[in-house]
Amino acid sequence: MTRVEQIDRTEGEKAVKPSPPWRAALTGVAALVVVAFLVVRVLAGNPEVAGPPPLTLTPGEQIASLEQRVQAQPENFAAWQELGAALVQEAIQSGNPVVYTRAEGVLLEGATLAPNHPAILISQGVLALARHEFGKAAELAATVRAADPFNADALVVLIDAQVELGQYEEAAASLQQLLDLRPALPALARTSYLRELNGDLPGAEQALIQAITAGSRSGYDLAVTHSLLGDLYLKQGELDRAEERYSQAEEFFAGLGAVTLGRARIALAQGELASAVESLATLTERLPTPENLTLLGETLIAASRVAEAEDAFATVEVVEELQLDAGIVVDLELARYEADHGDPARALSLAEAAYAERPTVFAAGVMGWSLYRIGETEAALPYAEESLRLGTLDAELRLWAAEIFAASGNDLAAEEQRQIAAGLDPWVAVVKTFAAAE
Amino acid sequence: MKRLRTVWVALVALAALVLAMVGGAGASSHREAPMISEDPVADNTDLYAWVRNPGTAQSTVVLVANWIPLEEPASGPNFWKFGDDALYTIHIDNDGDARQDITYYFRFQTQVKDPNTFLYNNNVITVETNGAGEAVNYPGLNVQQSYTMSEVRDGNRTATRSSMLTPPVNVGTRSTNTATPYATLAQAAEYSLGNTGIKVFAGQRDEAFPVDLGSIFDLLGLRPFNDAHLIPLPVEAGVNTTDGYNVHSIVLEIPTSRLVDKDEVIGVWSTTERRTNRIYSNNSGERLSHNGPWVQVSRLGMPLVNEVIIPLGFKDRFNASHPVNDAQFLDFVVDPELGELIPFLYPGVVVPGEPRNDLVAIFLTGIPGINQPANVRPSEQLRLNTSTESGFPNGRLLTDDVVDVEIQAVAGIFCDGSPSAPDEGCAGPTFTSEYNMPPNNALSDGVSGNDMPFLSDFPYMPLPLSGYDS
Repeated sequence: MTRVEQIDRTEGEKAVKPSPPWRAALTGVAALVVVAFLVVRVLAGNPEVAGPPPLTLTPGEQIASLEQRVQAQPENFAAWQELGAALVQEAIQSGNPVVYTRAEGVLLEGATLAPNHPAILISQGVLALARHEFGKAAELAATVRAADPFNADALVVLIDAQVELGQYEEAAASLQQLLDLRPALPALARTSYLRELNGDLPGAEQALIQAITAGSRSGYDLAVTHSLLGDLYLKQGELDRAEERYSQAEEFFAGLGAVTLGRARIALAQGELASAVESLATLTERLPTPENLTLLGETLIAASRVAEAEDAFATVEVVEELQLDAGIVVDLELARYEADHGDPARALSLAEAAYAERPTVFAAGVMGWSLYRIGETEAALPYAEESLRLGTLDAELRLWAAEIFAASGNDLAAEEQRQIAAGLDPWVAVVKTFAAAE
Repeated sequence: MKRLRTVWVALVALAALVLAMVGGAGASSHREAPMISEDPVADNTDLYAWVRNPGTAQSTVVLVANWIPLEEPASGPNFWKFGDDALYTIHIDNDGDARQDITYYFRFQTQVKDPNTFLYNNNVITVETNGAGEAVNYPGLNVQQSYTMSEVRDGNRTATRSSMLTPPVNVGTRSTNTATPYATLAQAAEYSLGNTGIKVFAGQRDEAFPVDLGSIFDLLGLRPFNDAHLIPLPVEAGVNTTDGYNVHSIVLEIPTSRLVDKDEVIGVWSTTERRTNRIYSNNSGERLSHNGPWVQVSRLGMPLVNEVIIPLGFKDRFNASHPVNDAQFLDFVVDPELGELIPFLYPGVVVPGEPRNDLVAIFLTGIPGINQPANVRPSEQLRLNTSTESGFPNGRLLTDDVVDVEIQAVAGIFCDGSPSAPDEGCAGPTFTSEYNMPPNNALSDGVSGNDMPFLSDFPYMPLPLSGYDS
C-alpha cells in the first residue's frame, strides 16, 4: 500500500493548500453559505465542459433563467456569481445603464456570501474596467493574484488596468506573464495593442491575426477582434481591408458600435460626409458618448451643416454639465471637446484631473493641447514630447505635437510630425482642425 | 426657436444617457478586447485508454483524446475545427517515472480551396481515396483540414505521416449524406502508418461523456438523490448535459508492444500547447517572428481531476503543470474538499476523513496489483495495465461512467478504513472496503450511456450529430 509519507514532496514548487476556515462553522445557517462557496470553489469554472445554462440560450434567456435561480436559491453563491458574470457581459455589450447597476448589485450579493472568491472578484474587476475605475480594477486583480498567481483572468484585468493607468512597462511585464501562461485570444489581442501603442503596426496586425486564429466560443469576442483589426487597417489607410474586417465582425455579432464608428471613419476618409453623418447619427442614438457626439458635430461642420453641428455640440455640453452636476469623474473625451469646441480653460482642468489619475500618452497629449489652446506653449511642450514617448502612431497626437513644436519655433520637428501624421488615420484631417484659435 | 427645441429634445433623450453616465457606461473610449481566456480549441475535454485482446500477440491499445467541448452541430458557416496554431499531444510514460517516454504529436493545417467564398462546402461532399481506401480529397468541401502525426521516443521521431485529412464535419443531410453517407466519408479518414500497425483518426465525433452538469454544478446536486440533499428537491432522472453536442477527437490504435517497455502498466496524459510570443521586437531593426516556444495551456489525464480534486484557484496552475512536479498537488488528493462536502450536503452519508491514501492510489500512483507501475513516481496520469481487461480506474472505456465512479470513490468505496472511525482516514485502496455500502456505493448523477451508438470498431467514438438534424 502506498503511504503518503513515501511520496517525495520536494519536487516542484509546493502549492499551498488553502486553509479551510469553515471547519468550525459547519453548523447552522452560516454553514450553508460557506458550503455554497466551497462547492463553487471545487466545481465552478470547469475547463473541461462549460457549465449551465445551455449554450443554446440567448443572453436574455440565459439571464432570465439565472434570475429565476437566484430567486429560488438566494443562499446559493454560485447562482449569484453566474448571474453577475452574465450581467457584466450583457452590460458591456448593450451599454444599458440598468444592467450595469443590476450587475453591481448581484455581484455584491455574491461577495457577501463568499468574500474574496476569485470568480466574483474577476467579474467585479471587469465591471470596474467598463466603468473606467482602473485603480479599483487593478486592486481587485491583485487580490486574486495574491491567492493564485497563475490566474489568467486576473492577469487580463490587471493588464487592461495598467495600460489605462499609463503604467506601460508594468503592463508589458504582466502581459508577458500571460503570454507565457496562456497565449490565446485575450493575450494576443493585448499584445497587438501594446505593439500599436509602441508604433509597431505590422506587429500589431500579426498579433490580431493570431488572436483570430486562436479563436473563441463567443461570437461577440470574435466580432470585437475582427473590428480591432479593421481599425488597424483603417489607421494605415487600407480602407478596403478595414471594411472587409468590419463585415466579418458583423457576421459574428450584428450591431457592434465599433463597426458603425469604423464605417463612419471610412466614409470620412473617402470624403463621403453625408454617409458619415448617417452612420454617426445611428451610433450616437445608441451610444451618445461625448467622443461620438463630438465626431458627429465635427463631421457636420465639415459638411457645412453648421446648425446641426451646433446641436450636436450642445448635446455634448449638456452631457458635460449633467456629469459635473452628478459629481462624476470627467474624462479625456470631454477635455478634447472643450479644447476645440468649448472652453479651453475648462479643458485644461479636466485634462489635469485625468492626467493626475492616469498619465497615459493620450492624457499627456490632451494636456499639451489644452495648454497650447490657452496660449501656454512653453508649458505645453513637455507634454507634447511626453505624448510621443512610446512612438505611438496616432494622427491626432502627432498633429497636436506638430502645432506645439511649430509654435515653439521648431519647424523641423513640426514638419516631421506632420509627415508622420499624413500616413495615418486618414479620417482625422477631414474633420479635425489644428489651428491655434478659432 | 428650432435650436431651443432641439436642445430640449436632446435633454429628454439624454435622460437615459445621464443614467448611463451615472452607471459609468461609455464614459470614455478605453480599449475593449475580449476578457475571459476561454480557449475551446485548446481545451482537453476527455481522455480514454483501453487495451484490446490483452495478453495476445494481437494486443492493441486504443487512445482517444477529445478537444472543443460542447460543439453545437449547427455552427456554420464557421464550423469548429482543430487549431492550426496549436500543438496537440498524447504522452505515454511506460516506466512510471512521471516523464514521457513516447509522445504522439499532431499539427493541423487548414486549406481554403476557394478563398472567394466563406462557405464551408460549395457542393455535395464526396470522397476520393487511394488504393488503401484512405481519403486523399473531399470534393465539394471548401475548408479542408489536413494534419501531420509524429511518434517521438526520447527525442527521436520513430513514425510519422503527413497530409492526412480530417473528414468534413457533419453539416447536414444535403451536404454530407447525399451522394456519400456520412459514415463512409468519415471512414475514409482512417489512416494506417505503414508497417507500424498504428491507426489514426482525427475529426468530429459525438460528445459521449455522460454527465449531469446542470445538477452537479448546482450545489453538487444528484437528481436521483434529490430528497437526501440538504436542500431537498423531488427525486428525478438525471439529465445528460452532453446529449446533442459534438466534440473533436483524435483516436489512435497502437500495437501494445510498441508502447510497453519493461512494465505492463503505462500512464497516459494529453496536452495542448500554444506558442508564446514576445511583445516587442529587439531594436536591431530586424523584424522578429514574434513567435516564441510552445507553452502548455491544457492538461488532462484522469477524468475530472481539475474539477473533483484541484481547487478552483489552482486550475490554471494545473493546466500549466507537468506530471513530474505533481507532488505540489498531493495535499489536494490526501484531503479533498469534496470529501467533506458530500456528508454535509447529503446528511447521513459517512465519508472517510484524511489521509485519503485510497485516492492517492487512484489518482497519483495507480492501484497496487492493478495498475501501479513497479517503480512509480506519484503523478496524475490515466494508468492502464495492458495485460488485463480495462475498465476505469484501470484505463478508461468509452462506456465507463466515471462521474459515478469518482463520486463513489470520494465517498470511500475503495477506502481501506472503517465508517465507524472515519477520522482515521484510509490506509490505502482496497476492493473490500467497509465503505462499499449504500448509499456510498449508490451515489450517482443518474446519467450513463450516450445518445449516439458507440462503434464496435476503430475509431470507436460515435458518429457526430448532423447540423441539419439538431
